[in-house]
Amino acid sequence: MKKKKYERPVIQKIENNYYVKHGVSARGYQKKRESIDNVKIADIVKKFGSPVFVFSEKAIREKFKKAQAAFKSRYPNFQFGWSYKTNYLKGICSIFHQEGAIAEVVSDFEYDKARALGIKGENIIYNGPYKSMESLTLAASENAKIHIDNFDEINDLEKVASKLDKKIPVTIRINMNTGIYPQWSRFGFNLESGQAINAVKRIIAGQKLLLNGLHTHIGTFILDPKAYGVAASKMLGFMDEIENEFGLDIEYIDLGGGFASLSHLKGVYQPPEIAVPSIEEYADEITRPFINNKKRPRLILETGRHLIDEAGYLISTIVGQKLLCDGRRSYIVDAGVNFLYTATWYTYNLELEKDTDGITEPSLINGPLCMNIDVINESIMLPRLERGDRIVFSPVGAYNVTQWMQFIRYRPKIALIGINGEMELLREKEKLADVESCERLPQRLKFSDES
Amino acid sequence: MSNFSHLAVNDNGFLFDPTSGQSFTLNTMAQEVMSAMKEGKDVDQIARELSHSYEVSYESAYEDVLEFGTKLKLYGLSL
Ligand SMILES: Cc1ncc(COP(=O)(O)O)c(C=O)c1O
Repeated sequence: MKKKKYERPVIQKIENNYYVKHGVSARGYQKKRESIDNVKIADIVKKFGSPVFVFSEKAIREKFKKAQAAFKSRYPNFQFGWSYKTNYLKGICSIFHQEGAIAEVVSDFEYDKARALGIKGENIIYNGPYKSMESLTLAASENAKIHIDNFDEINDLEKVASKLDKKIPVTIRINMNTGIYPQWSRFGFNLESGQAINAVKRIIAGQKLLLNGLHTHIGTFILDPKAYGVAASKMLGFMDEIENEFGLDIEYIDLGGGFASLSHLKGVYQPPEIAVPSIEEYADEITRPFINNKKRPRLILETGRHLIDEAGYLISTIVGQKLLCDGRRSYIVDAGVNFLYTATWYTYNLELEKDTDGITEPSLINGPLCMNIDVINESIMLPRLERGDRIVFSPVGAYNVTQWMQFIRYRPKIALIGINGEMELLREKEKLADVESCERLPQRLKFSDES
Repeated sequence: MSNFSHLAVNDNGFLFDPTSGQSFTLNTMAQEVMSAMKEGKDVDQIARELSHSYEVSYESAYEDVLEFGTKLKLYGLSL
């Protein structure tokens, strides 16, 4: 006798009468992903193992070209800087540099990384609230674009100028009210309170620095393009004011980063396809005041998230499951919040490699850490999945492979799917020796089970 | 397994619990397991029968039936 096809017994509570009245099937639609840029998930896992981060070179280049065209077509005097902290893998930075982006860094470490990749100092924007004397000296001697955050840094840079015996070109970072909440007032000099104009006066009085740029970064994942219109107008107004009053020559205005990606920010009700503005909408708001300005200074943007997020995927594998006492099913996958740092703020797309049938049930996705906080998705309706099934999370290209941590487990490989479908390695899986390479064990603490 | 003879499942797998006023849906397999339980069969016996007639191992079927019983308890449908 041929055995019948088996399906697990499933009982599901109906939370309201919706199902009954409208006859909606509890067999929910599951998003499926068999490949990335036509390379099969199975082949990627076969080559690199699981879990593995995967980046699409095609997606990166297409996104960059589209964003570049949106701005250059409206305002040709435009330059992108690649925000290193968003993703500073050498392979990823190199793609952006090949496309024409300069580097935007916020620490001595990131500065070193850009230099090691072959970027000249003059093509590095050096931001951040703390820059050591050594790195300020190096950056100034290499003609980097130094963006000053506070009055202490003005003092430091004046010392560097004396030491190098040269007048250092500088930019000041400005914060302002653009109508969005929360207002990032921690960085730079405040515009409305007069702090910014005081910084300008201080720099002029010191006579050792030459103010030639203005910078702001109003926040990240900004869903209202109008905030940029406000920022652009205020920055241009401030430029006109200080040029008239002090005879300065401002070469560029840098409006920072902050464009949203197609990620689902928790608390935003609408899906990202509806909530997230297009790059053209951002470009319209930003370039309009620039076009209307008499001087038309160079416009710089330090876009991070928008350019890389959707090019990144994490492939993971179900390694176990259990029924929790609240009736939800917990799936344990081989990658957790140690690798997906941004899971705290964003709900990723969850795509299954295989067609999976059956009644959906309330489920959650947990990582492999022995920590209660290791939750990638706390509430999702899923059909019953099997051990070994693959789950693809996206978009995860921004901030995860920089903010991830070596915690409890080795960090996995990072792969690139090349323009022609090549499967290339961008980062090896960590080994014990990598993790321990900075550790030192005092001789007297050495232990052997043999003795 | 406990007595839940007061619970009726219709042909579409729709179950209404008159004591709590709650409704549930069951797939075909769940309906089959539920009637086996109503007949007083235990987990071992149901798992054996399932693995005999369906493409499933005894071990998997055992786990599934056990879990189904846990769910009934969680939903207050059995003691
Ligand atoms: C100074 C500065 N520029 C650029 C960025 C990149 O921002 P985003 O990834 O939101 O585009 C950041 C991120 O916080 C930043 O602090």
